[in-house]
Amino acid sequence: MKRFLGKLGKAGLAGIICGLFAGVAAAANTPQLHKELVIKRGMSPEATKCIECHAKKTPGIVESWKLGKMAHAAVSCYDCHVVEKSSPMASQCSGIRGSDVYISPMVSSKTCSRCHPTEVEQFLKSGHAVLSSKPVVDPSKLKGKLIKLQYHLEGAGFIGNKDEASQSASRAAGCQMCHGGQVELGPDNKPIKNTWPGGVGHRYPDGSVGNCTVCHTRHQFSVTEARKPEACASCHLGPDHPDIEIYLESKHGQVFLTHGEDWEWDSAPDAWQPGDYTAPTCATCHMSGIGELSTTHNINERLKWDLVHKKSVVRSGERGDGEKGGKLMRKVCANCHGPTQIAKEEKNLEDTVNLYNFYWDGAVKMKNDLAAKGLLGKDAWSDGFQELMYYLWHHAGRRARQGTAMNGPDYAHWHGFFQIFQIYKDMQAIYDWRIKNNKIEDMSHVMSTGPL
Amino acid sequence: MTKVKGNKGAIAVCLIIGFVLAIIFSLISAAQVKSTSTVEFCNSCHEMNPFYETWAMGPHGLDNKGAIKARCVDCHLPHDSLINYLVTKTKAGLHDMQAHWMGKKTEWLKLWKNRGPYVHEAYESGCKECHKNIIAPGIPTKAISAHKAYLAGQTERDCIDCHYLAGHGDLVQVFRDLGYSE
Repeated sequence: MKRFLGKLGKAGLAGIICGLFAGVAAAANTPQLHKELVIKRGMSPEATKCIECHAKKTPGIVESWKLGKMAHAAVSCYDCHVVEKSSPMASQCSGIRGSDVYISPMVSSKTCSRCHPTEVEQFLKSGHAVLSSKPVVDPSKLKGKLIKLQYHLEGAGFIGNKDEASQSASRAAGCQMCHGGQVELGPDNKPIKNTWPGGVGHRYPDGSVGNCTVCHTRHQFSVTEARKPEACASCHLGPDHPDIEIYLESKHGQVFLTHGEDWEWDSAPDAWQPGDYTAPTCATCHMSGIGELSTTHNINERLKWDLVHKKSVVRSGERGDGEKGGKLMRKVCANCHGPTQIAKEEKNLEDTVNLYNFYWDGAVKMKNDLAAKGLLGKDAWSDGFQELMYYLWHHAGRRARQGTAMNGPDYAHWHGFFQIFQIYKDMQAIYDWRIKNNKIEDMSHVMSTGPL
Repeated sequence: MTKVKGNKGAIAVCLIIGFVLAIIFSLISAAQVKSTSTVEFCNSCHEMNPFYETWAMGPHGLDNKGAIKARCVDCHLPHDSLINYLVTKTKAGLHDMQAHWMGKKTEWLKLWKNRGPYVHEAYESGCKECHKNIIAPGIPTKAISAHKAYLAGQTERDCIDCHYLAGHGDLVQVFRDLGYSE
């Protein structure tokens, strides 16, 4: 027994030693990030220094950069991050402290426009730029109601939260990350109060607007990524504009989910055409060069209707040229569809807009009537009628309209008009009760945003 | 008949005098245009000193930092037509002379610090006089994409919108270093 135990002990010891060797060998074979990176091709000594230092300090950034087209074109850290000393965003990292080189971690569309002027000019005319961050930063929008919503309501100011930092937490984590906000700077010219980074319409201290890395994420800046629906989905999702859900439910999405892995995603701009793919993604219809149309970074350019706001109208002014947009979108469709189906889709959307507007006009009539009789609560968020009216356009109404536009039947119907008529009926009931009793009910009937 | 002959003679004399005067005037003007086009002339007013210094150190200046040297008038006057050049030069000259003699104070830092880099006081036609081939061999790949868009007329931006530091470098910082009031 002793001998047996001794043997067992020896065998165990040998096993442990073997295991240790195997472990060390495995560790030695584990692929390591290339922390020593020496690149001199077409780059200044300053640019090389950034790469070599950051390959050690932030290897994730350099690893991502080296796989992208920027690295191939010898566009490096230095080209995008260097600013003049007088820039309001100028600062120095430890690697350049004391030199006459100044950098900023914040890079806006203005920097990208130095090499991509056409794309940025188109982008700046679109709803993705100034209009996008307007609700977050412009107090004149809706007479400051949106700013109040962010700080006073969501930031719990209405129940006595006086902590400025936590008051803006929801705004910084939510609104700003899709819409964009306004960067505020500390004395060292670095962003403070969680005001950076931000979403597509972010506003920078040098007056520039827009963040290209929302779709072409840093530091690979991949066109493939921006062409995939996932790029848009990071903001266009959820109860108020479930665009990715609508797309994935549509036949376009079905083909993408089935065959997308086999598609060619990296063709040159304007040359990415049917054949590279067998169904469109968001980018194909709204942005890409297709058929006789050239690529555009103005996402409003091919839109006819405003399907976002309270009442749907043909786009005009700062929101685009709807009549022209409709014609352009028809040209997109014509690459894969005959005139009969295109006409059906157009007519169906127009009918949907008219149906939705009919509901909206009715709601406005009831609201005006209540307001004239003094039967509208002062705080819209504690007034059932007004809360329901918000969900009518902002959630269910958008789902119905956008669900139709992009062929998501479940969103056009169950999450759309099926809920619209119920919301409307509830509004009618409240309206009738208030008119009959000539007073506002004591408590809001709308307790949760969940089912809406 | 004699009277007519006398008139003809007078006209001929007047024409000759006029012609000679015009030539003298033209020569004087040409000499003036030339003598007022030197960098030294522009810098003879002290107000222009910081601009001279920053130019001298910059890519178009005396330090051989760039391939092409340019005088003030090469960039700050339009080169699209002779008439436009002369008219602008006369107007700008009169304006600057008046400002100098009246002792007009310009708050350069205040003027410049809030202005976007896209607002400038130079003429793109001046750039094009020298920079004829902007996709010449050896140009960095990153510049080619922007220059091609420019040549194809696909951008509203001009040379100076991107190369706003080419003339005088970081002017705002220079004014700060010189202690100009914010």
